[in-house]
Amino acid sequence: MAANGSREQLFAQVSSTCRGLIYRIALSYEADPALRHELVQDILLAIWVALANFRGEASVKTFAASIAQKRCISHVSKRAREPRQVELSPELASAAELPDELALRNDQKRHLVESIQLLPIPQREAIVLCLEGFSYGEMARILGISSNAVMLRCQRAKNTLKAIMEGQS
Amino acid sequence: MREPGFEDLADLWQESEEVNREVFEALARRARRKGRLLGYADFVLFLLIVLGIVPSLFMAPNAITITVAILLLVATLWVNWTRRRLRQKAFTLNTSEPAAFLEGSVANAKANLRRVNLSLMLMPPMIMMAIIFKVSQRSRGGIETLPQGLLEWASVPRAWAGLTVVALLLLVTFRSRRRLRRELARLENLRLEYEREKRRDLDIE
Repeated sequence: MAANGSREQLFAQVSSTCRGLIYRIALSYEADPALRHELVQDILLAIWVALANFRGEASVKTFAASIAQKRCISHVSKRAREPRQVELSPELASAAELPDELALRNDQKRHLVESIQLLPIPQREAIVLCLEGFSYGEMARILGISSNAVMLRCQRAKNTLKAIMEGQS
Repeated sequence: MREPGFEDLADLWQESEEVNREVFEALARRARRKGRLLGYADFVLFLLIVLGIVPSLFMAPNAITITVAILLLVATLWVNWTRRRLRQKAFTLNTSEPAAFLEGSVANAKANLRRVNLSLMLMPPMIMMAIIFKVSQRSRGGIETLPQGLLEWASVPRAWAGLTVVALLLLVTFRSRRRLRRELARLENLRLEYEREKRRDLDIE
């Protein structure tokens, strides 16, 4: 069990190094910005509680991603009503008065996020970890399947994502 | 590991971070504070209830007051212990094996549903007991003065206000039962989805 001091240190490490990772995982499950904020808070609380039992068998990043995915699945199953399509934040959505290239990139980002949100959850889990740059070994540990199965699932997820993105555009 | 083309998507994805450091750190601080407080919350609630009930036992020691007070204490202790156990179970699920996570989540949702059903069954008699406790404590009498005491209690507007609050509480509990049923259905669907995906993994392997 992590001592209280090291728990603080580990939590500080998670807060500083996994900020983007946690937000993006939450983003792939929750389109509503206010609910996403709550979800991130929930993930951080779960990480804080779980750090008491962290034994360093995996990296902090893998540990945080694994907990974030599980909290997101719980969040999706607890959702009061079916998700509605919500405009993503201005930072993601195409912003007026920006140069064309930047606006196009923002539009692509929005398109990618919306497509990921439409994937079935088992494939979404895999593709998000893949996009985050986790190795197949790390993904196998997080998803609880073999590295071969991870590879196959990622491939299927990529194909589905491609089909959704093409279908939308 | 990434294919050409996927690399671009990964870059695009990693650019979609939308939170600044201050906001995130504020959330982290709040989470840490909440995590620390959570451990004490149930204990404090239980202590407040005990502190509310026990002194009144000494103020009007009669058979009904003592019996009802003991029943209320036992029920409070049980509800708090169950809530704490369920919360701990939910937190343990976050670090469980991925395969056990869904199974555990389903079991947790079922346990929550059972708890809410039980609350709905216990709430009316517990409220009745609380009213009897209050009336018997005020009238300082035995069983024979109870009906009169209850009639007097019912004639006070504050009593009706209390009953309205109780009715609202029951409505909220019914709502939470409906929510839990939906959650359970979603989790069962998700479990099927995972099983389908696993079969596809095995078929190709």
